[in-house]
Formats: sequence, structure tokens, C-alpha cells
Amino acid sequence: MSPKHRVLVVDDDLQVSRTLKLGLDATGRYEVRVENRGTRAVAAALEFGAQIVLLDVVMPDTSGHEVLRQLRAEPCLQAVPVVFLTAAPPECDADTAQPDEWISKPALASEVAALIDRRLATGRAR
Amino acid sequence: VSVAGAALGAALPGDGSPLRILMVEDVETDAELVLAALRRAQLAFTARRCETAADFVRLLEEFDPHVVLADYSLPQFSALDALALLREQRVRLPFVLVTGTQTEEIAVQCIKEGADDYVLKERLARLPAAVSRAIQTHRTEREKEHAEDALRSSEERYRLIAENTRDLICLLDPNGAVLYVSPSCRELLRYEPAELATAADLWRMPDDAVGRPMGILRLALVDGGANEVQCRHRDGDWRTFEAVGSWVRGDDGGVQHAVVVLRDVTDRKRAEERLREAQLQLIQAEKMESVGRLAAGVAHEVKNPLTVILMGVEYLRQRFDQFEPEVVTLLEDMEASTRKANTVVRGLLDFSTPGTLDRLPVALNSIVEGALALMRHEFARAQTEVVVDLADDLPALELDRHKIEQVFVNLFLNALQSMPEGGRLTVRTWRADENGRRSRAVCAQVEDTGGGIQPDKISKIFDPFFTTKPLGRGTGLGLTVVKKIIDLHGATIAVSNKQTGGVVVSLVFRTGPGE
Repeated sequence: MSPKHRVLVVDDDLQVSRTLKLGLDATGRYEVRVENRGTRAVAAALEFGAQIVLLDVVMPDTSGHEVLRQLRAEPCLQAVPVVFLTAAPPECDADTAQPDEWISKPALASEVAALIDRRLATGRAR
Repeated sequence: VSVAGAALGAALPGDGSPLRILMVEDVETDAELVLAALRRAQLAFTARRCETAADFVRLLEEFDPHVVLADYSLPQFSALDALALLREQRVRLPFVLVTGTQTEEIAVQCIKEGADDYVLKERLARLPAAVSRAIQTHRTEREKEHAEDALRSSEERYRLIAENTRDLICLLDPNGAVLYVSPSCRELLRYEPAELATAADLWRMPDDAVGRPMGILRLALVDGGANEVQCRHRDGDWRTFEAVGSWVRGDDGGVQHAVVVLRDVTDRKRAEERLREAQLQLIQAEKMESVGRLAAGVAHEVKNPLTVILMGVEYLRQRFDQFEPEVVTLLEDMEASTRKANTVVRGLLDFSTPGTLDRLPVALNSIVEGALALMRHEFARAQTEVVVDLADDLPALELDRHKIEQVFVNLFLNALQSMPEGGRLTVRTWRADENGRRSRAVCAQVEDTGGGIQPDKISKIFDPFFTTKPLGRGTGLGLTVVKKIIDLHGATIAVSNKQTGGVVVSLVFRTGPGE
């Protein structure tokens, strides 16, 4: 049995993060950790050794874009793909860092899982 | 004071100066006799005498006489010469012939040439009265001429005003017959004044004004306020005029005429209309902006709960699919409903945010089938018969699947709501033919058997917040979003009422250039 991929879910919504973890856990392919505070995302990713980060965009303490900037600035996390989980329409701003993937809420856990697998197979977007 | 003296007093110049008398007389004693006759009438006067034409002309200038008394025949000059000189000089003076000649022919001849009277030298007692009458006659004539001049000038001024105004000035009798209409009708309405015989030729008569041609001007005529009337232009257009009228009453207080001044305000009204439309558009834009902000907030707040439900349903389906089929169906319905709720939220977002499409080659039929699947419970609940007629030879189209699905869901929802008692919904797709060849267009139609759209509303159905549905049933955004999505795809949409009742919505998609 291959080792489980470590997936970090960063979302301030307790129900969303819990249900997503339940759905991903049910596949048996991932080890999922949830962080509800955006400001703790980088520390959680380092501590957990995340292989992919699912990141909410609109959070009360910080924004997904800011968290993404911090993740990208951390040398140990350079290769970790980041997926935006967003309820808002994607913003196309050339000045801000772009994630490797977008997925719109609401989505099925199986859709998120398929995206994680694809992104883990191909690595970070070029 | 004699009667003649009193009359002469009245004939004196108004400034109190003595009467200036120019005498044409070569016999000095005769002149003295004449002046003595006047003195006897107690007339204050000064007199000069001349015997030649040259003197006569000079004294006319220097002496500025009030009256001329002339003998008929002098050696070098005559009364007829004097009259001719006066005519020549364009001087009009009271002129009395004082002569010893007794023939009536001479008198008549002089009067024909402009003399006022004639007096025989042997009957000089008549002279003061003759002078007085001549002066009075001239004064009356002059006053009459002044009055006529004043009238002419006044008429000329009114004519200038009436004929050069850009307004339409009409004089009507109480029955509406046109007595006068200003020539501006040529420019304003392209009619000749003579063609406008009655008020009905001038302005549109409402049905209830038949027999009351002035009824339409009631307000303008009673209150003196402006009243709008529609005047017919020769080219068939109706132009809007502002009418201000007033009654002209006779001494008995009865209405004799109406004066109506009409001003063409068509262009002003059009400008006002354009301004109003611009203001409405501005308000609309502001509304849309606030809806956009609201939508973005709502979307975020609603999408998280939808995520939880959707993922929860999926989790439960995986756990319960070996159990009762009812449970499985229930979970499927929950998933479908959640996706539908998401479609509504996405509609709000699509409406309020700049459109971006995620276009991929896709079969239009599969999108239609997806939308039908989302709606199948609604169809069942409303007892709607659904007829599906999808052509199987359609090329793939570059479409944003979710957005086009949203288009069909919206069209299906509208159709359903127009048929609350049930009915038939038909959806069909086909590939258009063009000159016998397969064209690059793919068509789709959604048809219902509902009540249709009122003809006057059909042009507004894509306007934001326009709805024909009862209060609380429609946001007025459905078709706006549909239109926006269709426009983004470069496709077209047309909505029309069917002859047999109900509405048909037609969509035309173009295949890509590589097709």
C-alpha cells in the first residue's frame, strides 16, 4: 500500500473543512490536516510537511492571496502545489501570485480528490 | 365777436401765434380790402403779399404760412400757377381764391386743382368763414391722414410679427373655423395657410372632441396655461405643439374669436425623452452595481453551506448505496437541488461580474439533457409534458457548459412558471440549413404552451429587474443573465409569442471557424 499524501486544508469555515476532510479521508488515499486560521497556514504546512495545500480565498484574518504569497516565499514549500478553493469568481490580476489550480465551491470531495491526484502527478504548474 | 371770428379763433394755430396769411395779389388796395375784412372778424394774423412765382416759393419757405389767399389772375402769376407750385413743392395749405372774376367755370377749375373755396372781392364779408372752413378742412384731413398712417404702421408691425414668427399663430371663430393662420405653417407643417380651414386640420381631434373643436384647448383657453396638442405634418408625422390660447370677447361678453399660439416642442420633447432614458439607464447601472456587490457577498455566504451539503451528500451516498433505493434517490435529489441552488447563486454572480467563459468543445444536446435532468422534479410537480426532439448530427460547439446549462435551466423555469396549471414544454435542437447546405449554425428552441408575453412587454424582457411574474416569484434577472451568457458566446437569442399561444425562445450558436 502506497503512503498517503499529506493534504493541508486551510479554510476558516469549520463545516466546510470538516466535511472536505471527511470526504477525502473516505478515499483512504490522503492524510488530511485542517487549519482554520489563515495566519497559521505556513506554519501548519511546514510542521505537517504538506504535499499539497487546499486554500480558501476569503478568510476573516487574512486572504488566500496573502497566504499564497507567504507559502511561495518559504523555500521549503516552493514545490508544494496550492489549490484555491473559492466561493468567489476567480480574480485575474497579473500582479498577484496565481495558484496552481482553482476549484469553485461547491464541489464534490471526489472532484477535489481527482484534482489533487492530477496535480500531485504533474507537480506545480509551470 | 362775430360768428366768423369765433370760428377763426378755432382755426388759429395751437401755439397762440397769429395766423400767417400769404396773399397772391398784385393790387395793393385789393389786398388792404381783404385784410380789412379779416380784421373786422377780429382775427389775429400777419400777412405777406407776393406777385411772382419766385416770391411765392420764397415766402412759402421763409414765412411758413397757415393759409394762402390768391387772386385769380395777376400779370405774371395766377392762382392756378400757385396751386401747381404747391403741388410741386408737396405743400398742402388751405387755399382760398379771392377774385373779381365772376365766372363759375374759373371757380370750379380752381377747386378741381386743389383750392378749398372761392370768395368774390365784392362779397368779402364771406371771407373769414371761408378761411376758417378751409383751415378746419385741412386740419381734419391731416388728422385723418395721421390716424391712417398710424393704423398702417400698426398693421405693418402686427403683420411683421405674425408673418415672421416661428410660432404658429391662429385666429379661429368659436366653431373652430380658421380665420387666419400665420405663414409659419409652411415651415412648421408644410401646409399652405389656405389648406388649414378648421381646427381639425391643425391638430389631432380626440374622439370625444368631435363637435367641440376647441375642447382640446380647454385648459389653454380657460386658464391661459400651455396645453399640448398633436399637429399633423404633411409628411404624415404628428408633431407636438404647446398651445397657449385666449378668447376674444365682444362687448356683450360673448366669445367672438380665439387666438391660439402654437409652438413646436417636438425636438424639446424628444430631447427630454432621451434625457429621461439616460437617467433611467444611469439608475439601472447603479442598481446593477449594488446588486453586484450584494451578489458577491451572498455568493460567498451561500456557497460554503452548499459545499458542506454537497460533500455531505456524496459522503452519505458512498456509505448508503447498498441500502434502500429510496435513500439513494433522496440523496440524488439533494445533490441535484444543491447544484440548482448553486446555479441560482452563480446566475447572480454572472449577472453582476464581468463575464469570463470556460469554453470547451461540447455537445449541445448533452447540456440540454443535463438541464432537463436538473429540472425533472419540477416538471413532474407541475405536471408538465416534456417533449424532447434533439438532432443527432450536431457538431460539437465551443461552449461554457455550466453557463449554457444555466441558460436552459432559466428558460425551462420561465416556461414552467408560465404554465402553472400544467402544459407542454418542447425543447428541440437542429442544424440549420443554408441554401440547401449544412450551415455552421446550430439552433435550439424552447417552447411552452403558457399565456405568452404581452406584446408591449416583449421588448423589455431582457432588461434587468423586469419581470412579468407575480411579486416575489421572479428576480427579473433570469433572462438578463441568459442574454448576457448568450452574448458572451457570440450566439443570438430571440423571444416571441406563438400564434397558437405560448412563447418560443430561439437560440442560434455558430460553430467555430475550424468547423
